[in-house]
Amino acid sequence: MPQQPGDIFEDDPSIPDDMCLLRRVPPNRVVTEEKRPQSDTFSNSSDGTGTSVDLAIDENQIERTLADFPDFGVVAVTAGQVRALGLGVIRDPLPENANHALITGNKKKTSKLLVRLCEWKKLPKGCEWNI
Amino acid sequence: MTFQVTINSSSKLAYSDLYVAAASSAAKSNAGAWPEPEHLVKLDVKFRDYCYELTTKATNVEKFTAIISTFQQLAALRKNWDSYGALPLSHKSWASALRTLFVACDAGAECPYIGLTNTGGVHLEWSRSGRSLEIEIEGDARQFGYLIDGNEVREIEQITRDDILTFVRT
Repeated sequence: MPQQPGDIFEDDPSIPDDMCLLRRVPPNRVVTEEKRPQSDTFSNSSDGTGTSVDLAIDENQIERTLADFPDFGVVAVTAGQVRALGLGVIRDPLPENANHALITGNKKKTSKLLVRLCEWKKLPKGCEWNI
Repeated sequence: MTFQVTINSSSKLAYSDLYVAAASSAAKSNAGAWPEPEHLVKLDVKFRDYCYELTTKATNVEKFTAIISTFQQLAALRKNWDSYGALPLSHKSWASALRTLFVACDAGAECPYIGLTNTGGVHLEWSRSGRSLEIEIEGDARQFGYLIDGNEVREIEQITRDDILTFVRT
């Protein structure tokens, strides 16, 4: 597979290892039997840029992340978990989202490990187990 | 004897509808008999302007109905369905996934988890006690296979029906 911009490793060391990175999960992207998101949830964006996440800078970030997507769930991994897999995290503020960031590096295999490491912060609509 | 059933991905379909259709077809061709387990049922599966013909044993009809029903739900997803710019289901990946599923499930594999990837491809996944076999079918129909066991991810080049059957039978 040709290398995409999001496969190129970049890391911002000013983002601490214990910073939670939040990623929305739509209801149709849940492997219910495994109680986790589908394995490619942390893959690059469809335009080839890195994986979009929000930096959880305060306790209200989950609500902001899900503001326009009430049926979606949200999972979190820490920057340290991402780095332990050889990936990086960089800030990528957007006009409408100052806390936007990207996970960078080759995720062909590591995205499958991230979904097994991540933690549910809110379940998508239709998921009925406890978190 | 072959019974013919036409399935249109733009219409709602439940197993009972399909079985009624199969039974109705049987009634026409065999004086009211229901398809026996070993009878062949021909499924004409349509997606947008494309049509594929699959022939399977009557015992597999329920399994294929579930698969086609899942594809109907995935085909209804619009651009940006994941909120991060994901693309809708591509015809090439749909056709490739359907063929892969047909070959595997006709040989005895159960219906896997089926999801859409953000490039318009299809994600298939069989899980067994902490291990997973995953097939990612890109929007251009290229296939990538992976075996995940704990923290190990092994890529499988040229995944075959036997790879799938070996996994699901262990």
